[in-house]
Amino acid sequence: MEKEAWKDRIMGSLEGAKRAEPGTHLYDGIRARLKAANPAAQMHVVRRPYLALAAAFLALLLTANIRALAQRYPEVSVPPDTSIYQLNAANFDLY
Amino acid sequence: MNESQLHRELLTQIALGSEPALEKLYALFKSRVYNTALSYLQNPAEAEEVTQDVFVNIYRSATRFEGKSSVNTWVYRIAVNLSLDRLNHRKRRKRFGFLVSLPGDAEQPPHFDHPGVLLEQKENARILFQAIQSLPEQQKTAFILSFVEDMPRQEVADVMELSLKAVESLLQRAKANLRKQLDNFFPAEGFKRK
Repeated sequence: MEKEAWKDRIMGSLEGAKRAEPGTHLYDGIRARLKAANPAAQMHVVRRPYLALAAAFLALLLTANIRALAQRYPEVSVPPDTSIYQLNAANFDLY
Repeated sequence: MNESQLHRELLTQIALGSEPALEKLYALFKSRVYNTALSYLQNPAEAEEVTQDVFVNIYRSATRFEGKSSVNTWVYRIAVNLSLDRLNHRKRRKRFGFLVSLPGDAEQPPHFDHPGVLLEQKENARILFQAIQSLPEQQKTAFILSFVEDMPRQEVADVMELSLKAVESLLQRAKANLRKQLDNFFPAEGFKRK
């Protein structure tokens, strides 16, 4: 009898219990896992800023040089040689 | 917009890749998911890992939600399945651990104290959670969802994809098995605690 009453108390021990809450920063872990699974969505951080600056400067220098050369030697427009398209009508005189 | 519509709307946005929508859904479901996982695993660190798995899974499979059940049911189903997967994984590791010592094998604490249980019930609930561990999977799920999560029987049936009668039968067997198990914990019988 005493044992059954004890079992009843054990079985009823969850009455009035509240839900347990996870740690406050758990969502940070979820966000990190989603980002790790989708690297394209990650922000790219330049690890060597001096190298990046040098590359940008070089690209700028190259563009300026190409422009200067283009201005110095403007393209001469040559009319296309249309003579090659002029067929000799005599070639088709089969009869 | 009622609660169910809000859940569906959030899931639609998640299916389109919205992370803020996932964060909102997380805020609404985190304690249900964590509490369920904790009841199965009885280990806070593992329960947090499973909670993360659940929400990553929701983000990835939101497009596959067919709307046949409520979002609540669907989320619980994922939480239950991933918790059971983790338990099975733990069992396999334990079996394998008899042969080889595995690095990173966390020692399962001997007693589990559910943080939400009333202070005066802590000792009794500790015994009950030990007994719950011995239940077969389906009985365990029916018992946890009904008595730890305090879910209505029909919702438990929906989560488990069973009839209401089947759930009631599972609960009867779960209670009978738990009472049998409790014989081993009764203090008057020479402290037979496991």
